[in-house]
Amino acid sequence: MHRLICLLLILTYNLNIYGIQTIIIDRGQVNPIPIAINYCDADSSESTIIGNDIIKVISNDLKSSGLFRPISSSAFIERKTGIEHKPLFAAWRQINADILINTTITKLPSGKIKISFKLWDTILEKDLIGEFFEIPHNLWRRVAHKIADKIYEKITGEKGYFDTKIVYVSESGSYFKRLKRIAMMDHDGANHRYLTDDKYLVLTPRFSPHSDKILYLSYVKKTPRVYIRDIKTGRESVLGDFPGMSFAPHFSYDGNKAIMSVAKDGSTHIVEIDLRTKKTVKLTNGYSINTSPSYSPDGKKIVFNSDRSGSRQLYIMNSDGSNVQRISFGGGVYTAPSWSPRGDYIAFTKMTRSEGFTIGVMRASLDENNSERIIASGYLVEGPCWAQNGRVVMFAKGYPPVGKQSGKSRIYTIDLTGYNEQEIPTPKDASDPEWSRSLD
Amino acid sequence: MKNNNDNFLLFLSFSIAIHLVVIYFFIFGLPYSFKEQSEEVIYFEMLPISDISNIKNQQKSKEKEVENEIAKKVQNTKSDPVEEKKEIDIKPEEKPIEKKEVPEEDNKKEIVDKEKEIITIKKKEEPKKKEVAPKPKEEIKKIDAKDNKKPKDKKQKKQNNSELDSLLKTLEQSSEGTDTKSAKHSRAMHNDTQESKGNYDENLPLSITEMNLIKKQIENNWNPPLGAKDISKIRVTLLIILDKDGSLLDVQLVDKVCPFGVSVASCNALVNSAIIAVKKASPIANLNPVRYSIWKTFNFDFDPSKLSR
Repeated sequence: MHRLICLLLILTYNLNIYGIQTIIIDRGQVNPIPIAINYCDADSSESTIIGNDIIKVISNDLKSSGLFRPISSSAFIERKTGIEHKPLFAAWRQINADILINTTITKLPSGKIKISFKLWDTILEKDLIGEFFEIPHNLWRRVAHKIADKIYEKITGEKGYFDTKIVYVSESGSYFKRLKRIAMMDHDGANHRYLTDDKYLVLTPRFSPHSDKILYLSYVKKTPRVYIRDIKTGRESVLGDFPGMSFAPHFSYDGNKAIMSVAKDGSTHIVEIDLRTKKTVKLTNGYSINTSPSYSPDGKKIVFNSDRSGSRQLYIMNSDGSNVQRISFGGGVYTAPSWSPRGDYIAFTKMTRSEGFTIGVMRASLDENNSERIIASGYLVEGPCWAQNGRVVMFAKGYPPVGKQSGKSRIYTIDLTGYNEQEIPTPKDASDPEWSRSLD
Repeated sequence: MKNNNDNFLLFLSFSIAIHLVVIYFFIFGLPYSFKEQSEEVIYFEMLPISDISNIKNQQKSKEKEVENEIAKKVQNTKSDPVEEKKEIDIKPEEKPIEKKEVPEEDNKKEIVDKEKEIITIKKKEEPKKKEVAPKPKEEIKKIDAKDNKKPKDKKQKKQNNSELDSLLKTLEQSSEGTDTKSAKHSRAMHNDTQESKGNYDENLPLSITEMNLIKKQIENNWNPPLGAKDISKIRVTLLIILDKDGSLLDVQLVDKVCPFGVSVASCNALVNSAIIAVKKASPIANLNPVRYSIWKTFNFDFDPSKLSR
């Protein structure tokens, strides 16, 4: 009896017994977080120059994410810099800075530089994170991206994507004589260089997990074939000896396999190839066209598009080709699916008569209500790919031709929520982008 | 024979019994249909909103009806304009008239109490004024012409200064018709303050209105990490303690629902965003200091599930 009474008391114990009311907060604001990136505390003029460049890169990275709003340095009230002192929080709150970053650069006897940073929350009045890097001079840019990654991760809970590379197809020339080359650059457009020349048509470059190799389609011998290329050495070779055309390649997430489409006798099927043994496995059958395969992050499933139901729709199957299930049911044509590194969403290109070209995302799970959401639209938008944190989507956007000149084509990024569409600067027209993982 | 008769009787009785049973069910229905479907009664109470809102007495401003000037003019044309003008204009002349008349009529009253004389004289003057009215008409008209010039000039100046307002005024009045007390009147010449008498109880818990006021202030400052994976599955409950002026004394993390599979970083990011929202909203406004014991402590339950849809 006593036990029963105790149990009842425990079960009925809650805060409401004491009359504390609860208010449910289910709405918020979607505003960039105001952030103050303080002047760098440097021990020499050379360090000051590097420090200013680092601050600029950090500011640009955070601003480009759309989640932060850097405050102009002319508004700063406190003049103290460096990581050693505790900031005057009231002064930073006065200019509405919720976050403060202080940095210090010192030159080491070894010739390297030591870059230290500290992240402060002016509302909570506490430091959130502090780290340092010892690097050669020429790697200051990567350190700036890494610092931005750390800040991004601490505030949002998501991994940053600033210390990454982009590989894409650079286009030039007239509409009837288009020249295409594979190019690579930092995610903000810096350190741009070409990987191939413009002798042969190239398409769909794809990074390996370690960003040391790429797969791409090339018309070297007038037949579209998939090639694998070492970025550092420049060596390349044909991947798979297939009788027909091969295209739309993708690495697996562990980098040990590759998947592509092979066309023969009027039908196109998905083929997986082991990069070590070169053993191939055909994953689809029938007389339909199956293409644009993409692995799930755990490697257990593959998403692809197929016209087996009469129009091009998206399907998911196991990595061995079994259990094929359709996941797209909206009106229109679905192509170019890309599985998010987080595993929760699949991005795709959709074409409808009413809306034209759009980029959309849908849940990868078949259990939930699989409603899709359009996040970008334009005259010609296609080829979505993901940042490694599964939060940002990159795609190519084409514009209508003007007279005899072909319309320009650019690379854009957009947040998963559909906000903050930003152009990535490229020297010429760009298409078919692919995002690498964070560089080691 | 006997056996046949017995069998016949047996079968007959058996047949009758079955027939009776069938007829019985035909009339009264099957047993389960006997259960009466109980009507579900839904009880509700009609309450005046003041009982729920529990709002403190507020001063209400009462709009005084403005007479339609156009309608007024129409009415004035019907009545004697001279009499009205007398009411306006005779007042400044009352004093000299009084002085003339008082010594003739009420000499005794003047000596005792001048105020009473003035009052009584006024009372007596009113009927006499009507009798005297026709005589000083010309004088009054002349005086009217002189007196009205000055206020009219002023009025004209004012009207000249705000020609647009007067145009709007006339348009508005004409739309209201000739009713001097039209329901369309919305301009208030005077504001009469009047206290509302509600059912305000200091000891009642926070009303819906009060809670919404507090909720709005927190929501205006909450910047949740949208786009984070599985953020819709995370819940954060904070306990806050306020000072008498609504400023935040303390905030504590009471509960954090972070399901399996959701990253710790995402959970922490949501917790931080909730704490920052509460701190930025401080001091919380629109809190009645008299009811401090009621709103001193309460919980905020941050639910981002609707945000991520």
